[in-house]
Amino acid sequence: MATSAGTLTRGRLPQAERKPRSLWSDAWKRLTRNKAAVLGIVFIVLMILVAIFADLLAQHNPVQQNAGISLRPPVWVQTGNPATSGLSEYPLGTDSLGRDMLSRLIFGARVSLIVGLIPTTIVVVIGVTFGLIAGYAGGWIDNLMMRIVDIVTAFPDLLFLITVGVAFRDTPFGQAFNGLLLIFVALAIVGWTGLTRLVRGQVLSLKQKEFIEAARTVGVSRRSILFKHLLPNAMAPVIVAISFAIPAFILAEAVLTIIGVGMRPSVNPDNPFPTSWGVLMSDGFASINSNPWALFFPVLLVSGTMLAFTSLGDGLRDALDPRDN
Amino acid sequence: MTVYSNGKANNGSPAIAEGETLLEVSDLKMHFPVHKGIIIQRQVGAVKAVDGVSFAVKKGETLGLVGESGCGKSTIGRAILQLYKPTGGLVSFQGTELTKLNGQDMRRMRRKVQMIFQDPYASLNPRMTVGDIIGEPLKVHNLRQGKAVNERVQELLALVGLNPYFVNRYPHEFSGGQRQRIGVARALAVEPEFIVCDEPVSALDVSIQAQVINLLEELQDKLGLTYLFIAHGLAVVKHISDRVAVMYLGKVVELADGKKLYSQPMHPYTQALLSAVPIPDPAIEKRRKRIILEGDVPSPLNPPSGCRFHTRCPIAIEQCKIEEPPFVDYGGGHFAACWRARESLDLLPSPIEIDESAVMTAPKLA
Repeated sequence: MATSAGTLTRGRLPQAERKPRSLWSDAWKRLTRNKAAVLGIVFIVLMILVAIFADLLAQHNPVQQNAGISLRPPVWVQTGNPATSGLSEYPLGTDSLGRDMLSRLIFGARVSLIVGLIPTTIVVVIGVTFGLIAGYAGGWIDNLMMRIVDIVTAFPDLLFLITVGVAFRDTPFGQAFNGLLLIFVALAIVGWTGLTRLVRGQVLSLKQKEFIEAARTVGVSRRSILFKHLLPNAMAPVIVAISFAIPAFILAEAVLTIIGVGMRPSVNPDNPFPTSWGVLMSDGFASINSNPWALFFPVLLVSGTMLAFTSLGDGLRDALDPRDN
Repeated sequence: MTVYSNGKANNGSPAIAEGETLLEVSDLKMHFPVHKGIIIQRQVGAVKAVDGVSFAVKKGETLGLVGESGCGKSTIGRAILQLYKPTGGLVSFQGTELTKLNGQDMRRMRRKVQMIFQDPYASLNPRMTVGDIIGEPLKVHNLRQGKAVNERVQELLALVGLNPYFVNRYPHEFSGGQRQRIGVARALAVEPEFIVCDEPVSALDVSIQAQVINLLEELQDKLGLTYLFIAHGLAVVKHISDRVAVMYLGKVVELADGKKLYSQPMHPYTQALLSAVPIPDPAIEKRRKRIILEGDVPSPLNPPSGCRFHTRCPIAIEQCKIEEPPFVDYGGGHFAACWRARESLDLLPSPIEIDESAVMTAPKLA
C-alpha cells in the first residue's frame, strides 16, 4: 500500500524561499529602534573595550604612588595656587596617595564589569536549572525545592555577605584575587532565588501548552523538552532579569567595599585587577572634604553603567514582548 | 523522491487487516486527585474525568467522540497516548498493552499512535521553524539522516497542501488553517497508523474547518489511517465518522454507526443533542420540537448516583437514580446505557435527519 507523496493542492504559491523571520531577529529589530537601549548598548560596549584594553589606555600604573602631588583636582580646575591646581599629566586628578585617578578608573572598570558578569553567570546557571527542574517536575520535588528557595530568600542578604566576608577574610579562599572570588561566590549564593522563581513560573505556564504535549506525543526525551522546548520559550524574561541583575551586582560590590568587607586594596603593580569603582568610591568618600572629585568620578561611572544596563533591560523587555508587535 | 509507505513493512509489527480491531479501550478510568493544604497535602477527592469507558476502533475507520465541554473526551485521547497515566483500565493497541509500557518502549510505540491538537496557535513551538517542528519526530525516531530530513519535511508539507518552501518559516507567520496543516504534517512524520484528532477544527474559522476535514479524509484514503475524531459539534462528526460515541460526564452513553445514531438515537442525551443542531431550512426549523435540558452539568467531583444523566433527563424514572444502566448492545452494534433505551424514541420528539449542508454550521456545544 505505497502511494507516492504527491501534492494535494495543485499549483504552488509563487513564493521563493526567503530568509526566515525568527522571533529573536524580530526582537533585535525592535530593540535597535529604541534609542535609549541603543545608547545603553553603546555605553556598555565602550566600557567593555576600556576594561579589556586598560593596559593600553592607562598612562600611569594605577598603583604607582607619587609623593607631593596627592589629592589634586582635575586638570580644568585652576585655583591659582600651583600646589592645589590640576596637572595636565593627571587629567582627572590624583587620590590621597598621589595615584592617577584616570588610570585607576580605567582599571576599576575591569573589576566592576567582571563583578557584574561572573556572579550573574553563576546565578543564571543555578537559578535557571533549579527553576526548570522545580517547575517541570512539580509535586513534592517542586515543593521541597521552592521551600529551599524561600529559606535562602528570607535570609538577610547584607548580613550574610558581611558574615561571609569577615569569616573567610584570612583563608586562602578569601584572599584569592584580592577577595574578589569571595565576593563572587557570596553574591551568587544570595542572588539566585529571584531568577529561580521567575523561571519556575514560566515553566509552570509553558508546560501546560499544547506544544509540550505535542513534543511528548512525538516521543521527545525529557531532557530535550526541557532544553529545546521549555528553555527557549522561557528565555525572554530571563534576559530582562539578567540585564537588571548586572548593575545590581556592580552596586552591591561597591556597597560591600564601602562598608569594608569587599575587595581589598592592592599595591602590587603587576596585579591586573588592582582596584574597583567600589574601592575608588570608598577612598573618595574618605577625602570628600579635601577633594570631592575623587568621589565624583567613580560615582558617575557606576551610575552611568547602571543606567546603561537598565535602559538596555527596559528596551529588551519591550522588544521581547510579542504583544508589542 | 521517497515513497510514502505507511509503516507496516518497516515497523515489523503484525499486519492488521482492514476492519479488524486496532485499538481497544476497556474500562478506562482517569481520575485527577484534588489536594488540600499547603505543606502537608492530603487528597480530598478526585475529579472523575473519565470513569469506566470501553470501546474499540477498527482499522481504517473513524470513530467520532462527541460530548459537551468538560465531559472527558479530550482526556480519553490523552490517556490513550499515555500523556496522562490512566488511573485504571486497559488500552491495547495491536495487542500491545500501552498502560504497562515503560518510557523507552512507549517512545517506540509513539511511531504508530499520534495526535492532532485542538489549538493550532498553542500546539506549535513559537521558537522553532516549521522545518524543525516537522523534522523533530524524524530525528527522535531516527527515520531520516542528514539531508534526507529536510527532503522529507518538504515532502510532508506538500502532502498536507502547504508550499514546501515554508520550511524555514516560523509558526507566527501562518494563519490558523495553515498551522493546523503543520500540526497534521508533524503527526504524519512518523508514519503512524492511528491518529487521535483532538477537536482539530473547533479553533478554526468555519470556512477553514471544511478544508482541514477534507484534508484529513483525503489522507485517510491515501495512507489508510485510523482516526479517533474528538469534537463537540455533532454535525462535524457526522461528516467524517463511520461510528460515533456520545459522552456525558466521563462515560460513553451511546455508541453506534453514524447513520443509526443520527436517525434512531436511543439515549435521551443524544436525542437532546441532535435536537439542538440547527437545520438550515426555516420551514423545518419552525415545525421541529426541541428537547431543552434543564440545569447544569453536575460536577465530576461528585457525580450523581445511578445514571449520571438522571438529574437532567426528561424521562428519568426511579430506577435511574438508584441503579446505573449497563452499556449494552441493542442490536447491530448499537450500544446505549439507558434503562429506557427502547422506549425513549417514542417518548421524546423524534430528531430530524441532519442534512449534509448543516455540517459546517454546526454549533459548538460549549
